[in-house]
Amino acid sequence: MKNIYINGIASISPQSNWDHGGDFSLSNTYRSRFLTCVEPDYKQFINPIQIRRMSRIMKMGVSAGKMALADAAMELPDAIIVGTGLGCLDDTEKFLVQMIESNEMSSAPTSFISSTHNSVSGQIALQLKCLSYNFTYVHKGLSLMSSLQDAMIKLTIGNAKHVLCGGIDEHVDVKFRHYDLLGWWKKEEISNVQLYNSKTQGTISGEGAQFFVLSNEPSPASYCRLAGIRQYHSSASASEMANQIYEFMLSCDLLPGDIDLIISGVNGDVKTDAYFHEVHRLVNPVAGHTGFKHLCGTYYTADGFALWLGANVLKSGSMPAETLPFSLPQGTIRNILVYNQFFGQDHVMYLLQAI
Amino acid sequence: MSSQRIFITGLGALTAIGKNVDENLQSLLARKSGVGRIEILETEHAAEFPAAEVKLTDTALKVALGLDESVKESRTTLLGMMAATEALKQAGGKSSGGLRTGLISATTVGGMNTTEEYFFRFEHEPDTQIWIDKLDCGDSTKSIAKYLEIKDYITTISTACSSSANAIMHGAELIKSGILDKALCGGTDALSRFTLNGFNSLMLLEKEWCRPFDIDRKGLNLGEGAGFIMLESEESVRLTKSRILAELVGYANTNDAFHQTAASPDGKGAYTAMSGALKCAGVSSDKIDYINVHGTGTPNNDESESMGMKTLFDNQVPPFSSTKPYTGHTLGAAGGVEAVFSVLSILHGCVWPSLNFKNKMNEVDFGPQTELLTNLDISYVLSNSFGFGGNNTSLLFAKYQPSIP
Repeated sequence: MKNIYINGIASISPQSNWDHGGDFSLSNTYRSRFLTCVEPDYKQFINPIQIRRMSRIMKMGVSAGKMALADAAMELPDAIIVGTGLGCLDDTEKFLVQMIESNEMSSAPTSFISSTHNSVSGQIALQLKCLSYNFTYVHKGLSLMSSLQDAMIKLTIGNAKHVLCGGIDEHVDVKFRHYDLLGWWKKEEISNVQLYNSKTQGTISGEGAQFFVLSNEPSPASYCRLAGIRQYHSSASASEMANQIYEFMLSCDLLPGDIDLIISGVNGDVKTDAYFHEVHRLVNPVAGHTGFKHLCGTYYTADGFALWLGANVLKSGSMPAETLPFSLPQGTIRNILVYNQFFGQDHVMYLLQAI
Repeated sequence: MSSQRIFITGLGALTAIGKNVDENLQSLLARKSGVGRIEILETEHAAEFPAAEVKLTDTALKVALGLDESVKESRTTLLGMMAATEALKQAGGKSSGGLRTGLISATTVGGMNTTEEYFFRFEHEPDTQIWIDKLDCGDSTKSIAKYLEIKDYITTISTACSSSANAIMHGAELIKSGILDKALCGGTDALSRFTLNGFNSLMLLEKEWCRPFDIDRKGLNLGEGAGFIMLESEESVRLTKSRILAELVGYANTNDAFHQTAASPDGKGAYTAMSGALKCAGVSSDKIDYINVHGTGTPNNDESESMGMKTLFDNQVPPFSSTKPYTGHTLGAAGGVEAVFSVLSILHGCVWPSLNFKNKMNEVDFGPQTELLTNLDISYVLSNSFGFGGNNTSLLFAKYQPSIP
């Protein structure tokens, strides 16, 4: 693969970090079983008349997409690729309710139109008048990884120079309640900054939109290189995962010992957090190790937040204190491994490298 | 663009006109449509809108798949398992020996046809809770991959009606970029009340048999099913010695950026997708022997697609037909099913008839092929799939030639 650079980033998340000018704050604290986004003033990005007709996830996606493009100082990408685990679930549910309550006699189409999972990528294209390649991946915890993999292919063997790529999932009350029935979430309200000290089962839910401009040429404002990406979709023991990561690093012409920092998907679940620490220990015990889900919660495309964070760390050279690292990286941070999974499946590995 | 050739070595199809590829072929030859009264899906609209259901209940599908009745999988997943298994078998099964195999699937409905039954019962009926995490699109792919033991790379595309054509395109690119050696690509969608009512709310459904490209067309008939094809690299075929059925020589995905659900009437979206596929393959438009069009039968699509063809082919449009009067519009499965029909066209030298067409529309001077044509030398087939969100995809299939002239 050619060298792939992250030249623009944007994030709408429970943290106040959508100001792409570089001033971001990770200090929002919550006492909740779920985190929701601090949303920007959408009028900055979308015509007010259109805003009224857009679903929330569409507004978030379009705005984050435009912010990332502005961050990369460009207007029209060569491709738009979006990943979303649950897609436009809010409108799906609205239409479903409408359909069932009216015994199939209702005829309002708005929610149905907005429930199509590629509405976000389609709407971004509409807003930008972008006639190019436009894909949406909807595959649980592999959704964003699939989008980024596709972007890398476009930039390597395709004709693309710049690809707008993003992950997005929104909190929907009824779905939160459903996953609660499956035991995914903490039973008690918890302070997000105490998440990793919690000794109980479950984690906290979250949402967000993280968009990136990937390019095959660096720019003066580049954040880092996206040097590798891989999925492992079945379940794996910690040592099997460490092996997978070892092979992944080899494929990037590096060794696990070259990793300076691991950003992992620890999420405060007493049943599974030990797994991440064990993976860290087996892969490279002297690498720094930090979680990120206390800042954004758990959602199918949460790896986007980890990548956003990693890109910022590499560009600035330092880790914000709010990341609450378990151990600090030693010396210069050159290689960051982002490792995430979704309740024991859909493992994703990314290698971010300083330029 | 990589010069790696992409060969098709397996086909799988399950639709209203056949449980497997051969049954589908026999129906195409016999002009036997699968559109009729809805009998399996329980809906208030059963008498109102004809649809093309797969004539197998979920129980029958499980029996055919060797799954116990108690196994909890959505109808979308079961349909997909059938067609994907057929394609994989024809391609010689999953090879070992270091060949990396992926599953690139697609769906729009996902598990909705089953979940819509249980969505409001989860909180009070614990037995239904297993369906909670089975609504999303990725779930069917995950289950199919597990059933077929495909491990190296899996993902799901959901771009409305172009979904499985896009899955095929992505599979080809994963092979060309060296990430996979073999890719099982396609899609699946089961009929659901959600989509039936959704399309009805948009007034896109036809109360009679759909008649693509006809001046009096009113809309589409929904269908359900699954279609998968196995793609292999040159090196993989050398090792597996799979029989090459056809070659995928070109593809393109473009966006209309015109409207969320309607195509631009000037056909620009259709034009750019088709011309993009030709350019990708380095094949001129006069080489196309047959176009399997998207042809849903809606006023908007057929006008737009006709205009696109008129522009691209300078009014010398090759024989074309929509096979949706046979299978209905299978949404997320359409690209995969129609890819199978396109390869069958090459293998059997046939152009499938476009059923129910009587009179040309006013916007163009041509209509689809209404007779079954046989004994032709079909070398190049274009297959179109256009979806909501302005998503336009065109795939170009070719008769296998041992070496590129």
